[in-house]
Amino acid sequence: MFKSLKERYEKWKFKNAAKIEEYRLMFYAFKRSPLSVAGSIMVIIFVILGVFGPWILDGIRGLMGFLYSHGIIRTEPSFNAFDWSLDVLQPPSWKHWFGTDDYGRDIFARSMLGIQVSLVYSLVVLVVAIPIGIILGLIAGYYGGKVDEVISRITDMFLAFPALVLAMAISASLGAGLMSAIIALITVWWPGYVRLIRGQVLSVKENLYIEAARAVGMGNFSIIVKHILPNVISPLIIYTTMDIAGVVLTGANLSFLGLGAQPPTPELGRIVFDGLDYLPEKWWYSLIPGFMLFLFALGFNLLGDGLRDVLDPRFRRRLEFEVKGEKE
Amino acid sequence: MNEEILRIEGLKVYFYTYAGVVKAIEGVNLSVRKGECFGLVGETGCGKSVTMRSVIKLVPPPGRIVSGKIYFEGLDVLSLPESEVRKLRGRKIGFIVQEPMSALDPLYKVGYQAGEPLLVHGLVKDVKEMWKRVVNLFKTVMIPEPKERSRNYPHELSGGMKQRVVIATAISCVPDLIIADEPTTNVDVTIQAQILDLLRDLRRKYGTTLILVTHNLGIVAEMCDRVAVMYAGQIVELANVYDLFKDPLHPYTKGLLEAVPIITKSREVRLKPIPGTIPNLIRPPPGCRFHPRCSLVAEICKRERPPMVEVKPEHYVACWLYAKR
Repeated sequence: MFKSLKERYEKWKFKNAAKIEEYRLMFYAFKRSPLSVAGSIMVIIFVILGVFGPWILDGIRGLMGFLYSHGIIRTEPSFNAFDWSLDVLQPPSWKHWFGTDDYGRDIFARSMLGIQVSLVYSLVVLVVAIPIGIILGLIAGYYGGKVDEVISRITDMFLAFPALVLAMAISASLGAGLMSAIIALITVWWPGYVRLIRGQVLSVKENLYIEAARAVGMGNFSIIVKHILPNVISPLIIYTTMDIAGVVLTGANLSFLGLGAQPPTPELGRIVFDGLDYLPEKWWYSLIPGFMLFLFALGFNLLGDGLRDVLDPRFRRRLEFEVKGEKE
Repeated sequence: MNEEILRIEGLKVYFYTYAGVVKAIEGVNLSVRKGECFGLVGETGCGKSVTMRSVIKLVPPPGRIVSGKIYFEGLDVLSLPESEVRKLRGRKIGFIVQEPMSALDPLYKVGYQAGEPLLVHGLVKDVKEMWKRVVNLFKTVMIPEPKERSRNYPHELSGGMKQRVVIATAISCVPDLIIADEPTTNVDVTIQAQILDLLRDLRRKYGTTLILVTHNLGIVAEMCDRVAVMYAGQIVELANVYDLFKDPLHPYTKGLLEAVPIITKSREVRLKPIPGTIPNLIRPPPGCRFHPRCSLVAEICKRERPPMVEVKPEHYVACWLYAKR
């Protein structure tokens, strides 16, 4: 049993030798650049905080309570994210790590929960906007002609407005709230993807292998799915990674303008907005959540940058020569 | 041997560009017999490839087949619906595309791509069976270590290997007709010879009809049974290969043969080009399209298009020198 498993592994390894080599090169390319490694670490941290935020907060609270009751630390930190208290506008301290806001709520706790809100709505926006973009972009790029004209002109109409202004108009008309902010963001976000995919399809479909696929009798649908889509996917991945930061920032902008998440939902942009009245004396109120937002966006941008190098086959080939040169 | 497999009648293909209508193919007639190797020669841009693409209804836009009839095994291809034409492509008519370097999708293993027609036309049950067939296929096109090579990606193969893969794709369904559109461009001479040997072997093995599109007269002389010479979207001469090379009739064919450099002659007379350039096909010259470059031009050539006449048995030419006025 054990032996056959090993045999099967060897067989698999042999069959996919080219793929394995390619993935190793990808990993090497990624590892080479410290910025992209830093970016990916930041992204991983933020994703973990986003997904498990409330539980992590509970865990920290439990740990701190334990340390306090055993006399290891002298003050027990307070992590109340929603309740009013008398500790209004306190600077960062052992009790309130990031300080408190004008209602006496703990900014550390609110920021942790805010990451979750940001992450969730950026994902929702992209999960809806990207498929719309892919489908319309593929159709417009592949069929061309009148279909392309119609789709592209509609896309242009949406792109003619500055994204934030259009999003503000939509979300204001739907009534301020997280849901309307998400709808507004989706509305302004899909045209970018249509543009991206359409452009890629236009260049990919000129390749001879598309012609060759047609010459062996493949239909349009299977050509699109099997030969065009896989060839446009890597720029899409890069763009998406960088775009997450864009969605988060635009969402934060909406909240900042009072149109996104409504109190008491903790959202980073909203916290920055609320703290604006107290600048510069109570700097921690705006600046610390703002800085977290900045790190969040930076992480995704660095990761996207790294992925661009990794997913570019020409770059990998160059690297391959480098690696082989080193071995000699 | 005389049974027809493909007949093209009065084919006209126009390209509707911004600059005007390019009359790329203007009334091409030809017929290809079962089992023969038919050569189609002419300069770059004379419409060889477009003619062949019309056969499988794949004229690249903005080109359009304006009129004409194409019969393949008695089927009127141009009036068939798209879904029926797709059943011909790859299954009955194999197409070897130009430029093997970019004819393979970089994301798939070459074996998968060579077997794709089998899947598309439902000739295999599943992918597993396809892979088995592909290994045999690679053996047929003489790829060494077929099993290992079939698992490679296009970037791991050389140009000659890729060309073999492209040929394997074209013959995977054992088509009745193979159209090879300049199969030897972009590969060097030794590989060119190997590819031609391979095509010849395949023809012997399966008895497939082969249409060879090329601008290389050497290849034609070596491979083909019958040849059609194209100039500016029209066929000017059609004959069996022996007659054409021994006794070319059309001034253009003569010019072409004289333009082949002869290594034994002195440098000054080694190469004799045809004067002038290919005409602009948006406003082609009236009458015979070759007349501005022809040394034997007469008055009628400038006015009327010469008819195709059978000067000798099986030797057709479109030139006023041989036609009755």
